[in-house]
Amino acid sequence: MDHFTEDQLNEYLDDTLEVPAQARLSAHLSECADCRARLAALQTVFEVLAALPDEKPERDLAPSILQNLPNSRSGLGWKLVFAFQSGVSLGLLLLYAPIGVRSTAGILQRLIGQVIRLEIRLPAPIDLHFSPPILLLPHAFSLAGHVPQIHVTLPVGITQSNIPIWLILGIAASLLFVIGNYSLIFNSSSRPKK
Amino acid sequence: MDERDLAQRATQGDREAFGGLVKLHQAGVYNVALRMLGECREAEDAAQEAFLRAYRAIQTLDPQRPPGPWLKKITVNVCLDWLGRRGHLTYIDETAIPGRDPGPELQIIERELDRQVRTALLSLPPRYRAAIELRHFQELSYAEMAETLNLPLSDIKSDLFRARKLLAEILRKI
Repeated sequence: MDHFTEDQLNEYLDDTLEVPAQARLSAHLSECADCRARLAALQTVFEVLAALPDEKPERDLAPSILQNLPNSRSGLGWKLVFAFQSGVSLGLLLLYAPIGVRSTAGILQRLIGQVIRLEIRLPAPIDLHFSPPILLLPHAFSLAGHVPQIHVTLPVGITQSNIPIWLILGIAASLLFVIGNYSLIFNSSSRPKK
Repeated sequence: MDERDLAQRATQGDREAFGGLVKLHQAGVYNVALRMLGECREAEDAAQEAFLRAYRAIQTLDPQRPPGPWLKKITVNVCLDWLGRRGHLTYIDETAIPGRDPGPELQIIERELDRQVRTALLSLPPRYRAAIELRHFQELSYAEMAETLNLPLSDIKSDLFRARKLLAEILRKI
């Protein structure tokens, strides 16, 4: 009679063999000392593992675990809030982008000694005070020959002289806003503090 | 408040309720980590990380089911990550079993046998250890083990059966 395989003996002990196979193996075991010995060795493993007692932790782990719990802003709702905030921040960045293009063009011009100017021609009825410039780009952007220029009506409070300050403040505030909320909502520290 | 209420409230973001679950299950989670890692301090750290991971994934907890098995499955995966980072080195800590007063001779023999079984477990490759942990201590089915470890069923059975064979060989020498 063929002996049963290790896999079959394992599945027999795990009680996952099909009923006919289980019956065949039971019958075979009554006749085969070799398979009985192999089964007994496996059973010993089951027994010693079952007898292994649990141990008590040496200290109460709860206080340090609770102390290290991340901010509770982890639910879907907060992630949506984060997405909204990111959108607002991106919008702010885009709002400043055309102004930045102008400043950058000026810097490039000074750096490489070439005339690089961009021109945005605004449709007459649209007032830049209330419309983010970037929204106008697709239909207002044009190159004026070799001398592109930007003509932007600056929002209230922004003047020619303080553009760089507004630009830096706006971008920095937007980035800090997004990064700060990311760390709060997705707190990703993987190694806990002891 | 019973465990189900704690689980329900924890899934709604209640830190205090999650703290209740920590208190209820810290010993179980610690024991999983101790069997997988073998060193008390490391087991405590792994248990802590497992609870933090569980907290971040609290939305995946079904409050209608006991949270213990869910926490222990997370712990097994945390331990596998730790063993991966550790580069498969195995620490066999002679003091891994926290101190109890030496009692009668039989108790000492039993403790020695426990220590040897733990040492035998720690001599297995990490995946085999995980298979033994999930099948023998968490009593998961093959399919549940495959889901927990994200491995094909055939790999799970192969790991488990080889782990048992290795353990049987080690135990024969004890």
